[in-house]
Amino acid sequence: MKDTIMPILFFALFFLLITEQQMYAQNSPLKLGKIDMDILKMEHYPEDTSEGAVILSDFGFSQLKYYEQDGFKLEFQRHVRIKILKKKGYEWADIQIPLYKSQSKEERIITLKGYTYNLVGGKVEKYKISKKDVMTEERNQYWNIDKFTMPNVKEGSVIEYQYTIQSEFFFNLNDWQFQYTIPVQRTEYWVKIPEYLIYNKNMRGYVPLTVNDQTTELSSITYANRQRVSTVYETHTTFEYENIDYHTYVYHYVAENLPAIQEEPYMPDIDNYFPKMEFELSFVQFPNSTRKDYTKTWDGINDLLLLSSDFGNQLNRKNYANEMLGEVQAITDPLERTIAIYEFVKKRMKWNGVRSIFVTSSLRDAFQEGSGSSGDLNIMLTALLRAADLDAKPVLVSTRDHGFILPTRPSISQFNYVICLVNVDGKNYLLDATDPFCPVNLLPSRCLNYKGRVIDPDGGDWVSLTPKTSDKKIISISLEIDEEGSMTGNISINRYGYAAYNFRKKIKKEGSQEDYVNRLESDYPGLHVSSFGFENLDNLYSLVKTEYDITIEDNAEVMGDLIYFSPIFFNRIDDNPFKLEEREYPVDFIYPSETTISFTFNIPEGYAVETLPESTAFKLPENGGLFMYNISQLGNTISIASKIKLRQTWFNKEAYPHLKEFMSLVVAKHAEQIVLKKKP
Amino acid sequence: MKKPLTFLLFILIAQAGLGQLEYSGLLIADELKADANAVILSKEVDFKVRSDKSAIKRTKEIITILNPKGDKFATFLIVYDNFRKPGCFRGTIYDSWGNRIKKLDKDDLKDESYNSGSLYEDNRMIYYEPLITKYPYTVSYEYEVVYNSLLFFPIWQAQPSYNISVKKSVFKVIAPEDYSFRYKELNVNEPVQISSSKSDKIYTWYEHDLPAIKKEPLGPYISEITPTVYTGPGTFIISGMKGNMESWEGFGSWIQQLNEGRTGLSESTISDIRKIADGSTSPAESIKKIYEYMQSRTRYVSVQLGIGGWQAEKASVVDEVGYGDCKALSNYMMSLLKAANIRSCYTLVKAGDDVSDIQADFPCLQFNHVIVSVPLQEDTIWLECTSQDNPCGYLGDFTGDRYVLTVDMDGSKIARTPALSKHDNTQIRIAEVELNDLGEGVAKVTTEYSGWQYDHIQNILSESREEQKKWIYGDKDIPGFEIKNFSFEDNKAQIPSAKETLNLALINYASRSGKRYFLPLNLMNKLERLPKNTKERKQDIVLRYAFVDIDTIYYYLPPSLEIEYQPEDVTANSEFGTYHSSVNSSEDTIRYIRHLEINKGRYTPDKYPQLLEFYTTIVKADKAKMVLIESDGAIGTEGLEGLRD
Repeated sequence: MKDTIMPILFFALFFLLITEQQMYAQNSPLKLGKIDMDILKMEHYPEDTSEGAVILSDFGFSQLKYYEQDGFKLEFQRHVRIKILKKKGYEWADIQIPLYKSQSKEERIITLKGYTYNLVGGKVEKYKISKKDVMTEERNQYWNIDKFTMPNVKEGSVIEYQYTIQSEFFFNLNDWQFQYTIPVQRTEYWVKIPEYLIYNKNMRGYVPLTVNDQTTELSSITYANRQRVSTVYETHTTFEYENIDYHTYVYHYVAENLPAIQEEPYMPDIDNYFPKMEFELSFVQFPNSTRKDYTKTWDGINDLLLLSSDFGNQLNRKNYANEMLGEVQAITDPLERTIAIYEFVKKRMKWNGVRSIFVTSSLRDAFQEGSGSSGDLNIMLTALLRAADLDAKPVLVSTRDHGFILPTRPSISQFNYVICLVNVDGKNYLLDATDPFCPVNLLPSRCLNYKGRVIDPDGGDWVSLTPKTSDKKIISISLEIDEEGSMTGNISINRYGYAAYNFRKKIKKEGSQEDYVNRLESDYPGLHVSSFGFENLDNLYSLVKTEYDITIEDNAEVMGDLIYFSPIFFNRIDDNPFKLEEREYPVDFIYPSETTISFTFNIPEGYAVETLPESTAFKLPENGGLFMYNISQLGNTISIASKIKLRQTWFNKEAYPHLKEFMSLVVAKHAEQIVLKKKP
Repeated sequence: MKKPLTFLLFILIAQAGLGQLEYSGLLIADELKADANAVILSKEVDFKVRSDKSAIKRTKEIITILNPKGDKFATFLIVYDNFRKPGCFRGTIYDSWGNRIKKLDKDDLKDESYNSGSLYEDNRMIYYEPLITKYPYTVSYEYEVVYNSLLFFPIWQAQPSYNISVKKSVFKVIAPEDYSFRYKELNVNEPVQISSSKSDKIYTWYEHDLPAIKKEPLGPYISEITPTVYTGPGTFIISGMKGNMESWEGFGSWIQQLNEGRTGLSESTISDIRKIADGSTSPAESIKKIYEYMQSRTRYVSVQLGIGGWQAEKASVVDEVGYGDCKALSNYMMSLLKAANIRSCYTLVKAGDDVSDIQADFPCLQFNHVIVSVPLQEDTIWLECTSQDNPCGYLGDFTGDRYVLTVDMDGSKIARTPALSKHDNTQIRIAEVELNDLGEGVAKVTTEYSGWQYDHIQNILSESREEQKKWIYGDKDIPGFEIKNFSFEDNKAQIPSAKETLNLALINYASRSGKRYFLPLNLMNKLERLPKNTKERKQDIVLRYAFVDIDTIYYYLPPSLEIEYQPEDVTANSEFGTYHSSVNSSEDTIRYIRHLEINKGRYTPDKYPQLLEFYTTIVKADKAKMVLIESDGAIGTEGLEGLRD
């Protein structure tokens, strides 16, 4: 009897597992190990001029898989096939897969197979790799990197690999990147998740999807409960089956013939332009257990953060700085009090480079340590401002390299950074304590990214991060020209806003004021600075003033009875940064800028002006920017006022030709010369 | 000066309370603070040889950081692998007054993989970064590194970099009396002191009160200026392999032993090679063909694994997988040559386009790369095996012109890789510019880059046209231009060259003022910046590259413009090089020639003003403009109408 029953039972179990597997499995459109001759023969990718390699097919499939022993696990399977066209495409044959770990759990690659195909003398040669070829690097506490290299890669090779990652971190459902720095012929992603886990989806960037489906299937899992039954004669195992039916959400995306994404000058971070489907865990609720919420509304996020021990709770911690708080009590003006506390935190605390919205361990520890993440520093700042009766709130930010935020998709993971908002007498001020050179209301450029989310017990809100301050310089130059063409006089420069900020950083980088002046002299050969003075380098709340007494030896040329020179030799725009005829991605100057230069030249006795450049002015459409150039002569004095103002910071593809032409006109005008002639 | 110091001391004692003055950065003498971002108050390094396969290095250091630029010296970092393991560690951070802020032990260190850019490596690091905002502050570290081989003897450099001064630094090597320990001293102020203790000999170097060295433009490497001691082992064992470093020959045989029996190839590869060899008329031809065969079958993948990163992967494995690191690919190349009965040498080199040369007379570990040399009767052929594009026999500035160790069964020895003369490193340009009567023009520019100037564009040659176009826009120093057409031609000769042909539209090239146009003569090879002026130059001037640039530019004028003024020819001769610019013109044609030669050489510091003068002459001459004037009757034009407000 035993001999006949057991196989049947085993068969039944096998059958059940098989049906379950098939119900779940979503197959790559290509069969691993089978390759088309045409693709091996292909020498150029017709859609593109040869970027080194092309992704022929990128297939991904994420599912939550049930294991009898361990319950649900997240599994991500990927099958990639790449054609290597040129040597520079070889890097696509070195594969690195980051795997997350935390405490005792870690993501693992459970299967891996791959091939390189070469066409040798009309025949296909095939080389295999498998899981044993993977090397694991333990990068740090949180990440392992699994690496492998495809063998025998040559120009013309096709490589493919397929792997499966198993993960217990439900929040780590694989995002899907559609486009890369090489073209993609076809990309497809499937996600199948039981109704017990709800994810928010974010589509970042734009990609034309040929399939964008969302459906539901009915699924079931079968528990097989083992029971050992002992009778007088024998012991055997019986199984009891229990079925659970549930819905599975199925997401399916396909895109085809996507061009490569390439970097261009003045481009916001390239990562923002890789179109991606992102998944964020919203809540988990298994049958017969309580629902665990992650995030889902902005209000929910607001409340969650306010209750969180490494965020909201910390906003009341202040005892570590009681001494300072006692001292600032005497400052009655709330804005002055804000500045005092802000400067105190910047002086006391050093940013460790880590971008985070949370406090690492506790504010007291961070304070003792004197260093911390953006979360430590700015939550401390917010807490101390609140302790000093100021209306301060934390603001979540996504830094420029972290991507644009989507206000329509509530999620915490859109943010990677926190700053502070203070309202004084109805006016908002933004503060970031990570950068010692920032005065109140001037943010480092990494923060200038669209909008921030204010976290507030009275309800969260958005705050614009568009800079209010510009990069502003006012330069006055007054020079005496002698008959040898040498010029003597002085330059004074006032820098405001980002110009002052950048200048302070530059001096710091050079080491000293002397070093900076030395650098200036080598940047403008012929310029000699006989004396100089800098004001307010340390006072962040004032403009930076610099004065130089100078001689310039070789700006003016003397030839016979003519002297000619370029009046704009300092801060001159002598090169148009925009050279490409057209551009795919926007130009981003980050903050507005304004440079005004006024010159007076006293020409030598016995000389008269032969020709002067003409005055002119032109504008960018929609008042995006303007250039003015006014020149006049009174007796022996020539005066010029030149002003370039870029009010608009963001120029899209359509506006690019105007910007390019604008800059090219500025370059031409700045190159024009003044000619003097000796009087007879 | 005395008074303020007493006063300061008083404040210090008042402020410090229980602070320890020896850790306070406030008492450092001005001489040590000048040009310094950090001060090594005290550093002691003891390297003790414990047996023939084990050593321990103990370090105690106290460093004061004076400003944010010195923060990097406060970071504690040890890179380790299977042969070097970190031992004990203790650290303390002190504030300005010498009060302890933080105590550190091993748990405070982060342990991560050390990513030097290699794809595969087993190096790891432990590190700690104190983030302190108040200067000065002081760090004190005490730590050990345990070596399970004597291969790795330290190189001691009193000042690890520019802008750090030293109050006191001691380096000791403790070795058994009978161990043949060797050393070489450079720039030391006090020679070694040798003493004995039990059965050990102790070698001690002591340096004190070294002011910080400021980096000067075009200066030598810091390792050539600061007190430095190279040390090297006698015999050593690593993973059971015994070696002797007392001579290059000994080290060479160890390398050879390490790679012994790793040259086997598949039958089909051997038969491929035999065919190539049989079809060639000379060894040089065989070598070139085999080199190209190797290039076509392999690619470079960086690997840092195995015996201290020293053993080459088997040739049969490279044969199978088609990739490897410099060792694997060099060994593979040698195996291929061997199959054709050509003898070649595994050659160790310290690679880099900006590194100091090795101490050729002192055998110790100084290399980071491997190439292959093939001794032929009349000449030696050098092969870089990690590049798929490199011309056969050509070494660029990554490995050229330096001492290397050639490993050979008949005796390994130091050799020197070829240097290219300035006449090999050339950039020869001929351009024709046709100007219209608005001062715009079209240009046809042909430039040939050779030798090390070829290295500058080599990578571009294999890029896509789109990338090449971007590169041209970024690289060419012309204020406004558009590319109409372009092409590149690669000539992989032994001294390689590439020809670049550009068809450009020049926008607003000659700027107008009234009826005059100012035509810049130097189209696209201007020297615009000078090296920084250092008031009192202390260091030698080192010009590392010799080259020749010749630009010949023809300008064809429209009938509406005639020449009003022509700049003088300029000649500058100096020991650093020569410069000559000349202008010839007829009624409608201008020919401008710029000829610059720079010599390689080392010059005393007092020559710096002369060098600046030489460069200043060039900068000025490169700005030269021709003045053109509208002939009577020509009509001026307004270019800005379109956008004028």
